[in-house]
Amino acid sequence: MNPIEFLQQQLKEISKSFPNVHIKYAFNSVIATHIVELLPLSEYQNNDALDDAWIPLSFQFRQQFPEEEISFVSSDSSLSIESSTFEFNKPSIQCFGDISAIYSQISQVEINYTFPKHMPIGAIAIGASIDAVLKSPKQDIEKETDNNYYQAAA
Amino acid sequence: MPTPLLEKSKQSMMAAEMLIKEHNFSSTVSRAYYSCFQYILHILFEKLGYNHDDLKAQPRTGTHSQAQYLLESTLYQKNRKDYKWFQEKLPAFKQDRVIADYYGEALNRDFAHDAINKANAIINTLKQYY
Repeated sequence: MNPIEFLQQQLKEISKSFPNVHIKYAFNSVIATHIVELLPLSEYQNNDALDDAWIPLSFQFRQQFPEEEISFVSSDSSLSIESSTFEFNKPSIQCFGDISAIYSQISQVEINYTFPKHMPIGAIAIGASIDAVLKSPKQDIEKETDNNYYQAAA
Repeated sequence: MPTPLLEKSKQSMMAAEMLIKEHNFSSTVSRAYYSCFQYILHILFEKLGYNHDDLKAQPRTGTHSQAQYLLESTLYQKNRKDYKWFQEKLPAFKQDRVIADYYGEALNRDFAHDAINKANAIINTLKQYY
């Protein structure tokens, strides 16, 4: 069993005991270290039972694989994982990601919008006299061809 | 009287502080990291009774990883919270040092200043227990 297979097996067991903890794994090639990320940060920082699970695993791993390095981190670390090799208890709904995607499109519309430089012909200025209002061209209201529903409702 | 490795650790930190003033940011990161690592060796040799042979005897990938492993084994017994902090902070700092030494990315003053702070934080944390 190689180090990654060992970790995958052990972390799977931990994930069963802590179903609310998202576990990610990746190998950091810059420092040649196996990285295990435990999420959310509050669980990593405050869950003593979780500590009891991963700290012995960290020592066991290094005893079993003396040439390997390992570090357990969370989202606040510069070692946190962007692209994982495997993960357990991955949240099924990425709510904030979806909302961000929707709002980013709206924001783009707002960014692209430019105010018109000229008033359209026929528009009435605010504060115009009643004569000006009466002289302004009438706006045709399109007749609805399919207003049967409304008539029926009335 | 300071031991050789403690003295080297202090000198490395002084060098880091001089280098950042000279805008040598990559070298600042490197010296700050080694100040920290020399302090770890000082603890292992002077406080825990290890020697250089102990670092070579184990089949770990290198002196740094073996030193980290030996220190963590005792730090865990002294304070679990600080062990958790240390086992993440030292590899993260090592990554900064590797990037500073071997990668072509230009580093700024903040990165270098952060490295000095990290080294001081690690050294001051270890001072509480050794």
